[in-house]
Amino acid sequence: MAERRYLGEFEHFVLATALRLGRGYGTELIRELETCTGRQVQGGALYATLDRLESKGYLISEMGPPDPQRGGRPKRFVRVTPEGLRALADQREAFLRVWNGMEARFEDA
Amino acid sequence: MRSAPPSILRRLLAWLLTPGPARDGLVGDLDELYVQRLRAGRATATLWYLRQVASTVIHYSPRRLLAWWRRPDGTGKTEELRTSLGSALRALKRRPGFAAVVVLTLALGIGANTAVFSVVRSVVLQPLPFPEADRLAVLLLRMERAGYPEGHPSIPEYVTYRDQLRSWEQLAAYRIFEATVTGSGGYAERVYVAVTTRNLFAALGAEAVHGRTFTSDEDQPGSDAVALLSYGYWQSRYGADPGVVGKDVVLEGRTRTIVGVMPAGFGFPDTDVRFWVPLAISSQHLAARGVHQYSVVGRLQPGVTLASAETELAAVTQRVTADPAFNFHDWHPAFLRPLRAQIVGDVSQALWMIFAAVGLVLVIACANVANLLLVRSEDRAREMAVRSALGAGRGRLLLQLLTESLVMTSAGGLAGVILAWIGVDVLHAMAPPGLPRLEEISVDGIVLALTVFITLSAALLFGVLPALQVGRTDVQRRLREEGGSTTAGRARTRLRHTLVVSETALAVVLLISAGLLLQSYRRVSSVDPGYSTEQVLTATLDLPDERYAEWEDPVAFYESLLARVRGLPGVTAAGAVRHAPLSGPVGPSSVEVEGWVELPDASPPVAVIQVATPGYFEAMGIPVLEGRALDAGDRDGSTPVAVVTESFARSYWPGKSVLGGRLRLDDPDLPFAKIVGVVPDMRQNRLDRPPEHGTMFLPHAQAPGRSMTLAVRSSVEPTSLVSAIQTEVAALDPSIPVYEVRTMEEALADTTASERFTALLQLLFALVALSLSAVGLYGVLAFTVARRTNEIGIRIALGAGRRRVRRMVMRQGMGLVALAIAVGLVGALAVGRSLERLLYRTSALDPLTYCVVVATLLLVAILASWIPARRASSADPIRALRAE
Repeated sequence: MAERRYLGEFEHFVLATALRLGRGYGTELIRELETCTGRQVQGGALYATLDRLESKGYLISEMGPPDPQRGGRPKRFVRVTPEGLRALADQREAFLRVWNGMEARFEDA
Repeated sequence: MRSAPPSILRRLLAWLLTPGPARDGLVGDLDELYVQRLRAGRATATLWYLRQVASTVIHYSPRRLLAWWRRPDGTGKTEELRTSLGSALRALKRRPGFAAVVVLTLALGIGANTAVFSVVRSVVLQPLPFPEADRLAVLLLRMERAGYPEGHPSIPEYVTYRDQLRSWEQLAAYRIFEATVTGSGGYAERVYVAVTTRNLFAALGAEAVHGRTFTSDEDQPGSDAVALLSYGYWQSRYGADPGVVGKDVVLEGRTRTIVGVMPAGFGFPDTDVRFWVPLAISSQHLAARGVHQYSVVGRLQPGVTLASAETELAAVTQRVTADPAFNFHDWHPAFLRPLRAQIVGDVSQALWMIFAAVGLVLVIACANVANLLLVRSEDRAREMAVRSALGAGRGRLLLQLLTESLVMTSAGGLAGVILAWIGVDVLHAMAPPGLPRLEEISVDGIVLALTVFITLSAALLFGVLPALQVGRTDVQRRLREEGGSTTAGRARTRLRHTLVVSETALAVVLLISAGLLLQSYRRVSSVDPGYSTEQVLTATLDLPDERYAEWEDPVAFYESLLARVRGLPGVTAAGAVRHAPLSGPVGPSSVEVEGWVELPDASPPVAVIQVATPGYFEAMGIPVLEGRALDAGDRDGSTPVAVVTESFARSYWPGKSVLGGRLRLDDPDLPFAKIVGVVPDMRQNRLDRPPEHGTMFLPHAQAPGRSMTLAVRSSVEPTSLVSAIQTEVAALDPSIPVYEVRTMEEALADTTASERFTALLQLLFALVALSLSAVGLYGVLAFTVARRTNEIGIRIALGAGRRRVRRMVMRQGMGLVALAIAVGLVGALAVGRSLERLLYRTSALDPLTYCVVVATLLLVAILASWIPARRASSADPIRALRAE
């Protein structure tokens, strides 16, 4: 099997959420992640993860225009790259294989 | 309503993030979310924001550090560090004296302090090696009526308390005695044995490592022939053989089965104990109301305080004594003491004093290093300014100074750690034998870390502080002023002077307390004990009961042994006594003095009862003041006689001759003994106090005992006789062990060892403090001279004599020292008061000590000032003028 780098749990959540949003920015990502995972998300943790995913080439970010609504700060929009998409697909494959045929076990859970 | 997060937090957040998408995006996002959260209230929102910032700190600060370290232009901080390490080493090499002094100061401060702190901590501070040791306490009696400040309960008292008190989980009684072990190999050895109630081990929370402790039927008379082994004895005597459990051992002629081995480090009540045997309380024990021999220790119930246990104790005592059926007319009031206080005892006071000295030395060391570094930074202010002018950034200069400080402090720290290790070994060797828990002393990692931390932080702080100042100072002004005096300079000079004066004052205090303790030690060890300690060897023998059962058996044995010993070459006199002086405390017994009318509220006559053979007084160098010594004519059947000590004779036969007076032990069945001689008072138990009680010597032939200590005076080196004496004993009876063989000089040294230890430690500290303050003084003067070189050169050019220049510098140094001495003397007066209790016949204002200390200090000050003064007087006027 070719060497494949798996995504960490939080990386996985962030990348998948970015994919769902298409071209989302920080606040949207935080809100979406909190809704999906039910946990409070720390901005610092999110940005550290975004930086890491970007350096791996799974994401690209672009800055919007300065926004007076946010104290003149621009928004950072992120988009999943084709590599990022592949990484997600691999991860999803792996998860599906692992869970294959086990749905019945969770019916009562 | 303001809708932005608190600006300080926001700024912190922005500072943490490097400029770029992360910073702009995150700060903006959090602003946006903050506004949403404001709906839930400002406090909630701010708290949320604070958490966000905190998490950013965690995620981003490592990167931020890394980014600072690796500059984008390739000249990383690693490179910079290497450069500054190189230039730091070069800078230190240029002034090796300075570096050496700093390193030495740190080494002394760290090493000496850690060593002593380790001792104090092991002995006083560390918890006892028992689980929940704070619940352990001892039960004692106030026995002033019997002539002792305190004493131990008797078995009937112990049993009463054990059965009636509810505050205790366990209450155990024990006693140590000496016994002869006879092994299978035919060897005989004297060892300490603790006889204890079964529950001692439960009370202390100790269990056997092999086998078991005593069972409940083993404390019944008849089934108590068992013993527990100490770990050390098990290793040395039984080769650590686990199969020892179940084997037999013969203790005092009684065969016992070994049922277990106690763990290493278990040494209660004493680390010398080799065996524990069960105390089977018999009806004889229960009848022995007056025998106060058993120590009582116990574990309080969880949650019971010492105070409430003491209240219960008082209530029980009252109930018991009020019961007429009990008829305990001699019931002594009982009290409790934590086990730790009982074990550590009076040592703690002396140790705490040493501890205080340690603290002072640490302060001095820190002050000194600080001072030296400040001096040095002044010295280099110009260099820093030049480098700053040439474009070195503030960070760069900071790094340079930081590296220099680090190099010196690490060297000092390392030297200090080594010194600490050596120091603990030295203290261990020097420590008095009675120092409790001595075997637990070792270099304490925590202490070492703490001292290293304190000293090094001080060093780093003062190494770097000036650099921060350099950055702030106006470079141009710095260059222009060329080391001239400024307001800031004066303030710093004052700080340095204060440091030197205070450390010298502390050294004065330490020197004076050391001097007082030494003086006191000198007086204790030169006190006339009433006997002579030179050229005397003592050795103790104990004859087994079963083979020396008859009255005349021991008499015959000791007579023939002494005759043999007297025949040895080099022996000038030999005798034997029941209790050798300084061999352990001996208490008095009640005596009846014929014709003595007891005053209503005076205590009845008591005396220490001694038994001696003819020749004993001669061997111990005890002069007979009146009458005669005990001699061979005092035999069983002849008139019972006694010799008493001087003050005893004076108190009971006031104003008349004691010879012919009669007294006896407080027992109507015994005959009165006629007093035939008077000897001087002698310090039997301790040297630092005159004896509390008189002594009455009975002739061995009229009051024989099996256990006696030989005293042998010789014209040759006493220790050279040891094997000859052992041979003589073996020739009479090979199964009798000879033990506690030592010269009286050794006994004396052991007795005064604790005074010697305290005084030497204090002296050691005082010397460290003195050398540190000399270094401090030198530093200040050297600095002044260095800064005033030009001024001095001009003075010389203008005709000031070199001698006068020298005097000027010396005067400054002596002025500081005079002030320090004045402050120090005031401090010493205050400290002396608390020291007084430890002093023997030495006033806290001992003039000799004060004079010697002041003279020493002046001498050291002259030496410390001399070098800078000479340097000043050799200032070159030509160079000074050129520099202007």
